[in-house]
Amino acid sequence: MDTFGLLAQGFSVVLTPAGLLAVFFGVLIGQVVGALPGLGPAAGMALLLPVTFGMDPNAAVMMLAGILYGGMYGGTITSVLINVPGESSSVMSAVDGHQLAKRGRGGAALSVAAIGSFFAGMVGTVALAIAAVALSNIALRFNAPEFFLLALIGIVATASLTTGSPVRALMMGAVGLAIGTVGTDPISGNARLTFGSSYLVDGFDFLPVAIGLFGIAEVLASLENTAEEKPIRTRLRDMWLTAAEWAQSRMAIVRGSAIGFVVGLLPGAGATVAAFLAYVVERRFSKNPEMFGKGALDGVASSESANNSSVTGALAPMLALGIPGSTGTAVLLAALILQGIRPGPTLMVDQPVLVWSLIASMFVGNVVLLIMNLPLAPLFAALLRIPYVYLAPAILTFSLVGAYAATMSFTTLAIAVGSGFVGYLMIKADLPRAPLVLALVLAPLLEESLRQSLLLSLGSPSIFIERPFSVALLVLLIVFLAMPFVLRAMARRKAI
Amino acid sequence: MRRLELSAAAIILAMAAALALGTADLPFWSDITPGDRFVPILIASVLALLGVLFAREALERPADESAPWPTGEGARRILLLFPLIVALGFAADRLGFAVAVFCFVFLATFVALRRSILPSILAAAIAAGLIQLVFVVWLGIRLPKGPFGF
Repeated sequence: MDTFGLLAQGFSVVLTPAGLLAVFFGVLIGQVVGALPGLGPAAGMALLLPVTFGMDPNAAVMMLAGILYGGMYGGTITSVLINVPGESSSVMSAVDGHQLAKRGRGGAALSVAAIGSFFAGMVGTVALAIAAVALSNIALRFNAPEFFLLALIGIVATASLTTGSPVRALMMGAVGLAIGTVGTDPISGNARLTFGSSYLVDGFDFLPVAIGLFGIAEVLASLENTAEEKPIRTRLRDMWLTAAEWAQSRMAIVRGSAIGFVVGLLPGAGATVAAFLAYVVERRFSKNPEMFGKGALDGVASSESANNSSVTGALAPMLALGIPGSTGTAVLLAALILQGIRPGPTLMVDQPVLVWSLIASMFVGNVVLLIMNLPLAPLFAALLRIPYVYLAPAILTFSLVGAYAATMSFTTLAIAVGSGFVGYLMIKADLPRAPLVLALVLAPLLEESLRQSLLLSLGSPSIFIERPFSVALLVLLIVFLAMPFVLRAMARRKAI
Repeated sequence: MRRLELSAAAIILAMAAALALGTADLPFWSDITPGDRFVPILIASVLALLGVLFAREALERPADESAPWPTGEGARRILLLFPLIVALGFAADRLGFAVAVFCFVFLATFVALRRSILPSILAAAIAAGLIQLVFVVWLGIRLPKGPFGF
């Protein structure tokens, strides 16, 4: 079947009552989670993951993906109206959007963000369909050495493209791998690092760790300071853009969408890097660069478009290679595994309905989100008036019950609580949590493919330089590994 | 901040040691293929190296830079919420999830977050109701029941 036929098949799954409900609830939850400061889409997805256990796999994946890209839309409302970014990728929108809101143009900022996000979401989804098919065709020729290198790139790139210290991010990636070795050896089946405990034979499940590190830790950290900011009121009629405002923003949307998608394809770069990069680039193109930081509508347009298309871009390596490039896609990958689906290059061949219904759902989801964020934006803005302190304990209980429901075991609950405690300390010590979670997801693939590679080569590491694909990936790995250290050294030299 | 980071580095080094010692009885290499200990030892080596580099980074940081621990009201909230979360886990097994969730949300909102009593009761009732509705009624999960039958 050709691409259009597969896409049509995907739409036939989405455009059913169950499919539409899954998409609607996904984007609605994403919108709300994105608007709540301190709770990101990855946390929202991890919290909702147990709810999807009994669902049809197609509907479950559509709903979780809806939370992922819906979260990008939701973050804008809080950024613009109360100057608190709901998401780290909305920081740029908070800078300029809130300034616009103070001048009475908050509606225009919300409007341009919604239109930009919609454009980026739609174009990004088309690009995703093309990129995923192309990547998947290449990946079908991959073998164990390439998979080992890809998994390693997934972890190293997250560290390499982080804004903080690469040592910290690499260390957290190694911690994730270390946790991933606990349990049963994937090749021999022997118990390993269980220290005699029967609870550890199955290893550390991804779900309670993600719920703790993201859900519980983030809610706790956000409760430290709950100064209630009154949102700036916005009305429907304020959301009309003037001709000049539209002319100022339209190319920013196009540029932001393109930058975001390309950045999203890179493992580890994420929506925040995409938004920041698009903002910086737009400043160079803008006719009024002096307005950046003081209320530039094109700044809001570019960063909001970029963060949306980056999320779509990040889905391409996840669908085509089985390698998550971000925390959100790691949770989505975990959802596939929990549904009994094996991710990897054969996913698009083995599960075409799942992949294409996901892609089709993103077209529908973006339309729903446009409606939610244009005519219904004042309604969602009114939701910000509910004090967060009433929502936070309920979110915590939902996390804990969800962790328990995943395995019906209090051990899982204890792991979630423990991970929450560790996650909170990691926030305090400024240690990134995303590499840990990514490494935990990738640990089985990494170990199995490394050992299979060495088995194929009778123990010789030369297998990693014998095949053109593995050589290319090895070079990419070295670039990612060296890049942050080289850049730091250059910055230090410049400072001297 | 430096003390916190050095503690984290020490934990990382301890973790590397645990990986090495905890797999001491497993084969590193068997015939032509890596054994069960191969990957843990690789990871332990990387962890140890990064732990040392991280400790060095921490030592280069100005000593007077303080860790961003919450103070005052923020600290009180966190110190109350942690034991409440742990208590929720224990209470759920004995009282059932519905009652445990109600008590947790009420205590968290009323005591830890210092909200008025009526909104706190309302928030607790809504949270307990939602948990029952989503997990028990919708998903059909048999959550532990307490002496009250729910």
